[in-house]
Amino acid sequence: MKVEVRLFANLAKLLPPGSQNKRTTVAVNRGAIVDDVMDKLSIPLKITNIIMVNGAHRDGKTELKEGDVVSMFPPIAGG
Amino acid sequence: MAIFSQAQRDRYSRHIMLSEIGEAGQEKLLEAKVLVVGLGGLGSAASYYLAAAGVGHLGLIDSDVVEISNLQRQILYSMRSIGMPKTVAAAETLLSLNPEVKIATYQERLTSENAVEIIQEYNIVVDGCDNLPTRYVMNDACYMENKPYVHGSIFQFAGCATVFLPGGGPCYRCLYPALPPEEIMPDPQDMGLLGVLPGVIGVIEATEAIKLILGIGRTLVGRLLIYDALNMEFQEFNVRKNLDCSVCKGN
Repeated sequence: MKVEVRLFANLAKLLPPGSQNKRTTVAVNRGAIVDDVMDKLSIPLKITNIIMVNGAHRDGKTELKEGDVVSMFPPIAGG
Repeated sequence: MAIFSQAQRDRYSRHIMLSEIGEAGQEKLLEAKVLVVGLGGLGSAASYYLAAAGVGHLGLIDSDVVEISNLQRQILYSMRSIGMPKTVAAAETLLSLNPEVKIATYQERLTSENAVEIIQEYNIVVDGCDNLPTRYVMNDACYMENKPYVHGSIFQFAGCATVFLPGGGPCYRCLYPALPPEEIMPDPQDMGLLGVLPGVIGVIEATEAIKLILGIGRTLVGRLLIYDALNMEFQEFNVRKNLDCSVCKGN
């Protein structure tokens, strides 16, 4: 199944080359969770990002379905 | 009810005219105590507008000295500030804007050793940090001392802001439970930064602090505001408490 992934701030560089508008579509197995999507995009699991699934604040163990929109906002440090 | 001098009535006239503020609100601002942690881009913008608003007591904490590369965005400073401790240069600028503000300066870093003692004196803490570890210190101390923590942070063209209110919404650790390993986090110093970006987020932080003092409007408690300066887009996410949070336990 396919899910849309939107990555913010310094995570955006992990999108596949040619991705537009800070988003990409990722193919995952049925029953995949958010952590599986992070793994596919080589997003280090050691960084705890804020995870949104369809606009709701969820976590890495959230199970996904076809067409879900997963957004990730990393900790940003600057000031 | 405060008795304002004519000079104060003139200075704060635009606030006093607003029905949501009035003289009663301006009095609250004059009695408020706000700590600004970090006097870089965020702290410069936030503290400038807090002083302009008449926040009566400002605490300014930063261990750094002004460098020329700061002048691209740290609007409290000028050419003559270079080489001065930021706390000294910042106090000069703020006092020339508003001599009535009482300013306490702490030329040191906020650490787990000093955070509770410093934060205790203030009503609200505003984030001007440039690193993640200090944000965890701020968060934990603010929760312990029951102080609102107005959070902001920036990276290249992106910024975010929210308000962590003990008992009212998530805390920083609800969102980011653990400090990431240093080796995989980009150092903001190496990554470049749009100079105007902390101006926007810093003033958003000052806005939230002022609304908390006045008790008006709807704050960013439970909402994460994300700003993309490059595409001029704001987005908002509702963020929730983590019931397993090591600091607030979702309380």
